[in-house]
Amino acid sequence: MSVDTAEFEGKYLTFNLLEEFYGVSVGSILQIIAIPDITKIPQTPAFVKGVINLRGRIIPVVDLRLKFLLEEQVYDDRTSVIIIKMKLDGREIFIGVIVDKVNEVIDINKNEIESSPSFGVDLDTQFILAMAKVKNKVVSLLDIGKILTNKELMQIQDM
Amino acid sequence: MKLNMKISLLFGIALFVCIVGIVIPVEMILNRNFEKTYLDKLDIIATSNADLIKTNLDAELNRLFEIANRTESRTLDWEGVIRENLIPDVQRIGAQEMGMVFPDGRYRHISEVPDANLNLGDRDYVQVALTGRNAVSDLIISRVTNSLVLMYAAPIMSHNGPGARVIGMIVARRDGNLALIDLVNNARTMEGSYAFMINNSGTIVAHPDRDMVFNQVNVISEAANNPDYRSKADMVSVALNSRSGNARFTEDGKKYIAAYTEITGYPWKLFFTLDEDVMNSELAQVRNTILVIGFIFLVLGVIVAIAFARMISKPIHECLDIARNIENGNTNLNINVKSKDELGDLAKAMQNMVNAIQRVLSDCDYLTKEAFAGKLKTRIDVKKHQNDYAKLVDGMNNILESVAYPMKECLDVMDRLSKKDLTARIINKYPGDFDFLMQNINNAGNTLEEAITQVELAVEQITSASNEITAGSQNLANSTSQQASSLEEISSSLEEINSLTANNADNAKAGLKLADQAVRSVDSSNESMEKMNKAMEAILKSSQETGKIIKTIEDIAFQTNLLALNAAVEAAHAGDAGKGFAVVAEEVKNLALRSAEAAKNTNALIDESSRNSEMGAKIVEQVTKSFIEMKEHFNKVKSIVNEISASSDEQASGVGQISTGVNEMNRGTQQNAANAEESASAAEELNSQADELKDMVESFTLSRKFSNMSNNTAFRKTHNLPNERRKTHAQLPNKKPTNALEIMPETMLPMDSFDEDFI
Repeated sequence: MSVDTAEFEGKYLTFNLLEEFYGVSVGSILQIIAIPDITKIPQTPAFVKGVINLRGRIIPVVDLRLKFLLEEQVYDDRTSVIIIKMKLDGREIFIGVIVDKVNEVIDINKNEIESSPSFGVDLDTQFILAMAKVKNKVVSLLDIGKILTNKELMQIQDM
Repeated sequence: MKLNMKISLLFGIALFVCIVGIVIPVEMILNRNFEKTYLDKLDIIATSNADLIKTNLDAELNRLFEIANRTESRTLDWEGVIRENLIPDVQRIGAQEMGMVFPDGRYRHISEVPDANLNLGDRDYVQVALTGRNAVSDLIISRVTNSLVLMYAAPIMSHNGPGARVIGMIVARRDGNLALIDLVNNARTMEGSYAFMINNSGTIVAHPDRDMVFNQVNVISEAANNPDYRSKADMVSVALNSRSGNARFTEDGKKYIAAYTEITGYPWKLFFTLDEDVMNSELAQVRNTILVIGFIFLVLGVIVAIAFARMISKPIHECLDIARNIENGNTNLNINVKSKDELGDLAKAMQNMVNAIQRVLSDCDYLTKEAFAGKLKTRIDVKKHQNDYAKLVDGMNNILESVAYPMKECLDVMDRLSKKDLTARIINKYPGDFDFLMQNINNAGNTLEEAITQVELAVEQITSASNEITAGSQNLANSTSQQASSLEEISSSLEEINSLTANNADNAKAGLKLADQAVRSVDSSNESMEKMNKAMEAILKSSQETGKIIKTIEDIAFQTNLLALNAAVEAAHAGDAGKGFAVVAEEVKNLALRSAEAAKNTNALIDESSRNSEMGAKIVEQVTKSFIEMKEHFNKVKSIVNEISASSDEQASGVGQISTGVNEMNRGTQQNAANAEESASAAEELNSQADELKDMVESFTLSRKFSNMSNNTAFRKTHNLPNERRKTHAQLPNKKPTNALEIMPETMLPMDSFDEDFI
């Protein structure tokens, strides 16, 4: 399939999971924080770590490694939480994503972007917008709103 | 018993018999007459005193009669006249009381109790007085005073002259205890005698023992109860029936003789007694006088007898002394008897005998002295003596003769021998002991010759021996000097050893000091190590602190990074307007990253520093351990060095002892050298003396009959001498036998002490 790469131009926040680089558009980011104390919630999927209190607002947090089925990490002083804002049924909601390490905010041009590889129909890779090559590294640009399904989001919001 | 004793004793016994023969009859006559004399004397005393008592009593009664027959008394008016009249008389006649008795017996007296109504009519003396005679009572108990009294009574006659009748009587009372006793006690008696008086019933009315009177003792009735009185009672019983007489009695165990007589006209008998002891003592006095006189005569007689005996026995004693002196061989005597009788002749004959003996003895003495003085030709003149004395003197002469002849030949032989002719011998034969003497002289000549021959041989041997000694001494001297030089070398080596040892000891002491210093520096190093350890600990601690701070810085850098990212995100949200802000955020982010990087580097450095510090601490610990081990080693070194020092000291003292030993040896060697020299010179001296001896021996004339003897025999003979000497020593119990072998250790005593030092 052929996708217009220009629509993915813009500023991205890069972060790491294991040794891999990922990028997320700064437009959906509310704030980046160091990992705080997390209140666990029972009867939830494993990747849902619980909720945090960010300036009086209860925000659910998701471990991205577990969501991506990577090996579980021990949180250290580099572990950070990216607070994402998104719309669900016209409501603005916030969700915290736990990553290994946040790196920098970079501008990504359309020249540096390639469309995301298609591995087959069965494989659900729609949350990857495209791949960018920055400074000899490959950064996977994520559509953070599609990482969780609506059902999952609803489940989380109802907590 | 001596002669004079015999004569004296005989004379004395004869005298004693004579005196006893005179004294015993005198004593018997004296005994018999003495008692009679005393009894006569007692009789006279008794009679004269009885008369005296009678006269006194008569006088007192007559005085009372005179009072009774005064005109006033004849009035019979007691109250009116008589009482007043009598009062002065009581005192005058010495009565206790006076009174009057009427013919009917009524009694009135001066100090009567009113209404007494006494009646004395029944009294004997009253009844006698009523017959017109003066009367005296016995000793009676007064009805007025109840005491013992003597009553006098004199009748009052109606008128003077014949035909007068008794109209009353005057009585006087006297103290019964005193009246008669005074009379008796006034009696003149003699020593050892006493008087007493009894009445007709035997009751004592006067006695020196007043209790007898007061108790009115009746001798006869008392005798029935008291056997002591029996003898006296017998006498009294006899006396009551006779006017006067003599008697013996026993009282209180004493014997008495007594004379008694009646007092005429009165109812009493007067007794005079004399203790027989008094009489006997007087008798004994007379007897003693006789005995003393007899004894004095006896003593005088014995003295005369002794003088007489002396006169006879003195010349006999002198002769006896002379005989005893001759018996004991003492003849230098003079007899000093001058009497002309047979005793004198005996003494003269003794003197002549003594003179004859003295002459013989003085001649013999003279001959003996001459013989002692060697004058064998002197003889005694035999004609001067008689009979057996002449034979004795002749015999003495012959004895000298028999000695003189052999003596001459002896003298000749001795003379030749003395002139070194050793072949001279006695040729003639003599009897008995003379033969023995001559053989001995010949034997002596033989022995002398043999001895001189042996001396000759011995001298030769001595000469060769002394030569050997000289050579030996020389050898000894040489070896001694060699020994001395060796000792010198030993001595110098010892000195070297000594100095080395001293050096050793000094080094050991220096080593000890160094070891001490090392121990001290190890100690101080240890202290420094400890300080270093502490410093490292401090570094570690501060590294840890710094690590914490770095962590904080990292945190801050991380937060700053996040803030920068957030700022970048916000800048992006702002679009173009935020571009400048984005640049700043980028810079902040870079700074934060660099800060984090620096912190990381610092942290790594600090980690390394910490590791290094820990390692340093470990190393310090190891070094400390090593230091402690080093200290122990040094201590061991110290003790070893100490031991070295001590053993060096011991070695030094040992070397010192060896040194003194070597010195002693040196002295001994020197002494040896001197001795060797002395012995060499002595051997030379011996040699020269042997030569002299040889010359001397050669001057003797010898018959050469002993010179064929072998040398062995000569040796044996010479060795016999010490053997004989040993025998003589063995006979003396308290002397140790000394020979050459036993002397040896004593001469080697210095060597012994040297050995002890060496050990």
